[in-house]
Amino acid sequence: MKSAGDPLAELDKTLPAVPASVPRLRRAVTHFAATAGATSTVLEKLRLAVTEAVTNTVVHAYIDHDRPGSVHVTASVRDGSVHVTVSDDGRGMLPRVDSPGLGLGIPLIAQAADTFDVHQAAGGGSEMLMCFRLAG
Amino acid sequence: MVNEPLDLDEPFTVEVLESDGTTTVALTGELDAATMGVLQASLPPVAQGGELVLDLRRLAFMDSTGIRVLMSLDIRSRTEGWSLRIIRRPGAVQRVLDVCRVPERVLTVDEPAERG
Repeated sequence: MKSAGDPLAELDKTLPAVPASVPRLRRAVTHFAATAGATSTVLEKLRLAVTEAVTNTVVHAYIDHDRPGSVHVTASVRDGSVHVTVSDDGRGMLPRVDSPGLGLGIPLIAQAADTFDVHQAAGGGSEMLMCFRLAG
Repeated sequence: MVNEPLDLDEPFTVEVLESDGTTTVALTGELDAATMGVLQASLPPVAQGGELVLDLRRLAFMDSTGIRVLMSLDIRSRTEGWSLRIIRRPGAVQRVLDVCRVPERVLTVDEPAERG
């Protein structure tokens, strides 16, 4: 069985974009990073950032759809860092005047991750890329 | 930086205690989008002149979902005439509160008996 320390190992999970998926994906990515040797300080930041990113998809990505779509999370280890992506095929980065949130999610991710990028995917939807140095 | 053990997988629970005009709501486990509804359904009304104390000492995780609940309670306390107090848990949860500057709006203490 490949371990997170194996440079070829990768986490790849797709779940429904519903609230119950938030803790499941948080725990999956945290476990992956812990196995890869991330420090407790890094795990704390990663837990928060991944939670905010997945929640962002759950809350915003599929408001135009009749049913929630999916949220896709990957994690891999390269060059001493955990690279995490959170993506969806929902409405993309269209603004909302009726947002139920406080707008804290993106700033919290940017503050927690070493690097952070968010963009609209080529086929629609959004993709967030976060990077955390294993050693902090 | 305090590195407390991560209380992973502990179920989210809400314990409500009422005494002498003070309602204490103690949280355990992880507060996020999946458990926010449990908290909101558990919050009792607070009478004018009363106090709501959120005890976070056993809360293992909170994100901006929890911040939104706190800010909503803060606004309600000001408009409905009751007071809100948070008992902090040093570590990850408090760091989220600090980054979002919650202690600047809501009285935050270390022990139940503290009143700022």
